Amino acid sequence: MKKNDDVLNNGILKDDILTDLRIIEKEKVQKIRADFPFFKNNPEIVYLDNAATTQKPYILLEKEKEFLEKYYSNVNRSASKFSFHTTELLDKSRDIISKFINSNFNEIFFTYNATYGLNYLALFLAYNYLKENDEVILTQMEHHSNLLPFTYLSKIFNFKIKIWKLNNNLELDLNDLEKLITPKTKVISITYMSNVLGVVNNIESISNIVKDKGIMLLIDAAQGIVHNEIDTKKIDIDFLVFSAHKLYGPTGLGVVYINKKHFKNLQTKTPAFAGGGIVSKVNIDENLIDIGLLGFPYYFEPGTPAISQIYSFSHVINYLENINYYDYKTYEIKLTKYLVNKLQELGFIELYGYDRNEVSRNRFGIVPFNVKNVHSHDVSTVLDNYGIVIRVGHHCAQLINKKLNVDSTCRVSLAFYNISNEIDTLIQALYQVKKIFKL
Amino acid sequence: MELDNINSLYNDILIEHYQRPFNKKIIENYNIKQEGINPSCGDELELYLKINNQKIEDLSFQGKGCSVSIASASIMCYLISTLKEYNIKDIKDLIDNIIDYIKGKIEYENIFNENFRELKQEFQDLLALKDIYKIPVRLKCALLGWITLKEILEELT
Repeated sequence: MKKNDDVLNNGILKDDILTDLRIIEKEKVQKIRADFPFFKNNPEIVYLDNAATTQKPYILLEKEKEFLEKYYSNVNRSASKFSFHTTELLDKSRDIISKFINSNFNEIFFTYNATYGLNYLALFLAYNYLKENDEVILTQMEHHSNLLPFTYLSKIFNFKIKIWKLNNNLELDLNDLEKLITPKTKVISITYMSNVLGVVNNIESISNIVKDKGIMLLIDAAQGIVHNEIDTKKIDIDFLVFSAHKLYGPTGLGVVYINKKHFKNLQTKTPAFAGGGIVSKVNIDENLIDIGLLGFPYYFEPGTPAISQIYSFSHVINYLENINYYDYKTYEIKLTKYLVNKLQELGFIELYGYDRNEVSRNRFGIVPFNVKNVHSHDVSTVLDNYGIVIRVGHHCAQLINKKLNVDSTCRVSLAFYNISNEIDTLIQALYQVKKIFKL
Repeated sequence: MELDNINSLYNDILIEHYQRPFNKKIIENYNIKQEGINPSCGDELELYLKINNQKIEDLSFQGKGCSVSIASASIMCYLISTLKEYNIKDIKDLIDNIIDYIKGKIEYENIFNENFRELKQEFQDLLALKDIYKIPVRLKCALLGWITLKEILEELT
């Protein structure tokens, strides 16, 4: 990907963030917004709930339509030339998506979403790797999607769950990880970026700590990949999961990466889900079932895949590559700084994490807060009246609330298409919250 | 149905009940305690009632939640505590009407049947809840206390 975009990466003027933001918005971001029909169709909406899901570019709609109109058939099955071509399109799409995280064609497989990917991997590890009393490390900042599958399975397969706790900066301290690891530790499953706190975990350091100890590293990149580049050749990761819909892609599509070092002895492993499309032969003879499984990635994909979604998502990936998507990270960090400064100026906002830590490359994009003495649902209702969409509640990560000692929070989550004007609208609406609740 | 003005939802009566709720405590000598939960937004409420001879002698609540759930429970305790002379069966009928009113199904004037005609002036705090039905996601918050009380009274009548 091309680097060092002048407008995006230069000229961080700390005392005049707004001027800086306005220049980038004018020269870059407004053009991006024009690529997303949502903004044209909803001029009155301020969409600040991007950690829940992101808006879709035209290219997604066009390519999905094109595929269904011209190329649609099932894949990997038929002997017809037409279906063979569709299979080629699917393979090409898989290749594009795999390159986005610098992996190989056969190292990724598709599921419904990140949650299904995490459930698949938890089951696959429980079936094939985890023995009684083995230990799995999860963290206090995990989304329920990562926390719950392992927790349920630990009861059935009798392995143990250990929770890596947050420190007072609401971060995970690498020293605490080293203390948790024992010879029984087999898996660490951790989010790349917290969907509540905006904290980006140092997965490279975590990988370095665990890789010589025979511990498998599973990364939930559902949020992380939206804001941070991932290079599976640079960082030694065993498994990684993300959703297409959070990365401007279609719903109903998740991507799972499996490091090729796990390809060995695949035939002896039990897949989590089985069915059509994953087997090379099946013989059933006097109660003995002999199943020959296909190789990666088909081994993991029973049933018809989300063909048109995979195709359209690959074109969204092309779009992101073409605009040098990750260059916008600097812009997102500046926008987060602007947001946090404005929230702090209000004087009636309780910030979590950002109250004692600077916005940085390791904490940005997602900002949790509460209006003092006002319930988050009331804040949401007032903001809603101004067309502002944020998320309130526990954000499917309730262990964090235990640390924060709150029942719920408001969460603003930014994307590269958000602009400073939208944050100004949010701040105006928060003044109304103050007025209504006589703060 | 659209809300014309956010202040018609967050009116002064509602904010007053939220910030200084009536009987948000555990009363002494209560003989009934019931929990109500709104799982969609995490509101939690506990009602405490002292009922003797088919009359509500006192009631209170504890809980945590948004302004709408707390204010609505406070309004409920405030109004129902004035009905010490009324039979709980009649009160249950009144609560059915109040629930319909909060849901936007009947007008304020039509809450009060012949047994309660004289309450029309005294129950005006209920007007604080008149627009909640226009925000369906918040309706459950407003109904939590009332439905919990209705369930208690249905058991007893």
